[in-house]
Amino acid sequence: MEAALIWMALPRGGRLAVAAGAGEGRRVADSPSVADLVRAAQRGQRDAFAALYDRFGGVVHAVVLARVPVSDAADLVQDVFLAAYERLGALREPAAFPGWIVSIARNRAIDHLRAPRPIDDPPETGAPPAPVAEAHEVLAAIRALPETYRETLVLRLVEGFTGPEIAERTGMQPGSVRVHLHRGMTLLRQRLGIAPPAGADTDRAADEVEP
Amino acid sequence: MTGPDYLWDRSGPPDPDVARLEAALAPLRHRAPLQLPDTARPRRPRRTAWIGGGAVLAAAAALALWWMLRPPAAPACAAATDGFRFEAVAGAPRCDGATVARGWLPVGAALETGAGDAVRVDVADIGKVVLGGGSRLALVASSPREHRLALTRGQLHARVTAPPRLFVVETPAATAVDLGCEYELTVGGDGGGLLRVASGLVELEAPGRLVVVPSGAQARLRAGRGPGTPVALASVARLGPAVDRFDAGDQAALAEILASAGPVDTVTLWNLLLAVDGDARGRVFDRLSELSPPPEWVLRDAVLAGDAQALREWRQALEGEWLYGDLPTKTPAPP
Repeated sequence: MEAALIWMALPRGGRLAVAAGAGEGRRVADSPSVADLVRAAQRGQRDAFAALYDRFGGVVHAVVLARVPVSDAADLVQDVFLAAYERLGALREPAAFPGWIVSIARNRAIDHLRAPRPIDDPPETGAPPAPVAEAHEVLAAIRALPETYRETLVLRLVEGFTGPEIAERTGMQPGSVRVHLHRGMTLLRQRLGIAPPAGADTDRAADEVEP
Repeated sequence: MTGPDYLWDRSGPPDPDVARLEAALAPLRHRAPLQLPDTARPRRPRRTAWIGGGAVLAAAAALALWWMLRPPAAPACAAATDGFRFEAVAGAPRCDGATVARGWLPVGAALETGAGDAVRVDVADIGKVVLGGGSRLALVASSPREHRLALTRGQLHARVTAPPRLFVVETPAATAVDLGCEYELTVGGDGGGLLRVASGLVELEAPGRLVVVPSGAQARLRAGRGPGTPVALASVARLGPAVDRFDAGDQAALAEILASAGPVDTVTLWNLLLAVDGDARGRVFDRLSELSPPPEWVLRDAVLAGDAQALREWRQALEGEWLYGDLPTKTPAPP
């Protein structure tokens, strides 16, 4: 979807152009802070909430994709943002929005898994196109890793966020994100049968692969 | 100072394996636009629009009746509607001098507990504090940028999920700055005390002194002298006495610390890098390097010169060990 510039009124006067459009959150002309967007959305500015969706949609998608079937992820993302929008007035700490919406996403994904339905992807009619099949295969390998690493790897490899962006948008410590990325990648290489790069220290990480 | 790392920030030449996985997973990337129903609205937490005129009058009458019949020393905390919500878990705490079982702790007010009392305090939307017996806890400030409490005596257990540095607790000896964590803080009658971290990281700050205390470690609060050097809980019996002597000014204790430090004591040694200089810093660097080598881009000369970025990079590399305790450890280089 092409990003469209919208004008958003900010709390202390002034207006900023922000990019709207799913998946285009990093193409921002002049980014207002998350807290400013939350406050504007709390006052009913739907464009501000759309900008929050633009910025955090990929994060929420990664959080649910690390847990639920691919076919359910998109609907669950919409559920999470609808719930967040309706509860936004109760969020007294606008700067806490990243951790808040990630918590909602995790809870919704867990509730989804607890619901009486099959947790595996429904059988496809006919073989999926090769690129999609490969994506599902790699995602299945990520989901087989310890939970600690799943979200971080999906954020990096599926949604394309860099480590610093992951830290900023989830509230995690940058050092922790870096550790999760490298250790998770080591485990993923093993699970996919990819030889480690020369000089990699994988002895301990190998012990953590789930049976 | 930092080398290229494609997996971390796409710097340097692409790692072919990572690039191939990125390409393979690209079809799954989030693309759907927001579908917000036109009827969706942010709900107000305390809507009053539905209240009819009669209900308003009834509420006003009830308020007037309460005002006339209220106890002479009406507790300000019970009447407050802003600040941090609190509720007694055990006993009868006092808020601004009045006994109040539950209410709001406004900015500028303080909760006090007697022996055996306990109070749960909601820290805005970001966490909870349980205040133990014999304690005094004041709310100094509350804003979107920072929530600041002051514990002048007693103990509290804090559990916070928030961006780093949003939750701060002052004590007479040092200020505890939350970096996303759970911890216990105790302050004694002389203003000294102890911080024990159960998860995440806490920074203890005082003029001229900063220590980082990760999960599984503790640090003393020394009245008039700021925070002491952190020690892993598993090493308190073995290393604690030497650390206490060093913190009290016995420089000779450093040799004992370095000699007895093991793999779990990297938190002590990294913090010691900030507390010593000159030859002593070189000795700490060498011992810490043996236990957990720094990233290759963190150079000895930079650490010995007190380069803040080098120290931060090494700390970030060590945080994995401190927080999860199971990072790959490398064999010490031969002497």
